[in-house]
Amino acid sequence: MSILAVNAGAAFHIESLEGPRYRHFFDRLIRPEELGDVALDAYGAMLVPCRTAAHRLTPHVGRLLSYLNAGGTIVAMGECHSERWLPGIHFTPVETNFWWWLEPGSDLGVTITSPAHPLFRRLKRRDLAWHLHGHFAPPSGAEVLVADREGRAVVYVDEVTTPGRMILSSLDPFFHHGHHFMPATTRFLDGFLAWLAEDVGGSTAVDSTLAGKRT
Amino acid sequence: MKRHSLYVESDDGPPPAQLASHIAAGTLRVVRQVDLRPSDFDTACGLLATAYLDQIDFEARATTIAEFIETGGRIVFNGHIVRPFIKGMHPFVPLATQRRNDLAIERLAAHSIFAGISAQVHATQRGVAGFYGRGHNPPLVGATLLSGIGPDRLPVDWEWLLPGGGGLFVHSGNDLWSVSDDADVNTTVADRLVAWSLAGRTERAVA
Repeated sequence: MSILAVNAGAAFHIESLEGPRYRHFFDRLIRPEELGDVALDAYGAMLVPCRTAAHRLTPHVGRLLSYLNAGGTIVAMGECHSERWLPGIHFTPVETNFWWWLEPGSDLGVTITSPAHPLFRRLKRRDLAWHLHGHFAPPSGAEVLVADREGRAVVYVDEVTTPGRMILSSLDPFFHHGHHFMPATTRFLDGFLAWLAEDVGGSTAVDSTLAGKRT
Repeated sequence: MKRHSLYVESDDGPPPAQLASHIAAGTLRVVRQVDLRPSDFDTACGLLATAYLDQIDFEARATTIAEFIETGGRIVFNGHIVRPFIKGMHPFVPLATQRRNDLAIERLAAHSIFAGISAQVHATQRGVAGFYGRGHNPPLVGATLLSGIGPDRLPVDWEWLLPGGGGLFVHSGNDLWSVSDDADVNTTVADRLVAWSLAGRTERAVA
């Protein structure tokens, strides 16, 4: 296991990243401003939790791209404007309906689009549904894992834009879990982080000289 | 420089609409938290912090913040304290259970921020309880408890003032200018929070 997580210091970040439930998943927590001083290649994945301010990541765009070009994995969660600091992201925000569940028999419409993906050995559809903030237009060849009612990507994996891997989500589980709000977000993180740790655990540090794609 | 407070922008913005008139008038100045300088604490009367506040940064500024408050500066804090940045602060305590009754809101003392605003206006949004708070930040010694949550009336809102006029207004939940269905209430609360934040150093200057 080798996961680096960025800690921007909001209460929900600290609760999620440093709290006993998930701390063991992260080999190291760093501040956004430390990205220029850390050897990213030593880590199998770098995770940016929900609602990390993009203006604290944009100064490091070059280093993040180098890490991806060396085969690294970057996970960018919801509401952190990943389109401002990662390549090839096309995001459309939507007005969030926080109240959809008040209608009897209502359904947010989130669907699992790649049920064979190992993530879904740990996550069920009900673990993905709290509310939506927007959708992506992934590049051709990307694998869409979760979509909204209209079939638009909500979570996807992009291994085509760079030699590395980007895992993009418009869902914002760290924010709500870290605010002790919405049990589905805790279930999501239980499954997602366990999958990520398992996925990264078998890999070695990325190669900074051979920009090989992960297998 | 006009008497002003700082809106500490910890996210990518823009600042909330409820504060727009104060920003336009110059009584509230927007400063990104990453750009906040010690000199800003010298020139501002008060400071408004949101639930996105980088508390690791604020913890590192504890000495500056202590001096700010001791010289009449006032801080409006929204959210959960996880990194105490004032001596005597303790971390947020989430509710043990979150049943409807556990989330009830009750006013505990009269205060200018809540004058004429029923607790019921803040207790629910679209009939759903829990947006106002889901626990409490333990009050500093000597604080005045303003609103309670749940059957034990745990202090979800409190004010702590020093003899010199500086102090803290703490709301232990989502930003207080955004937690009512009534837009007028949100604007009124925003206006009052800005006025409260300006008052400590303004009163010292008058004296």
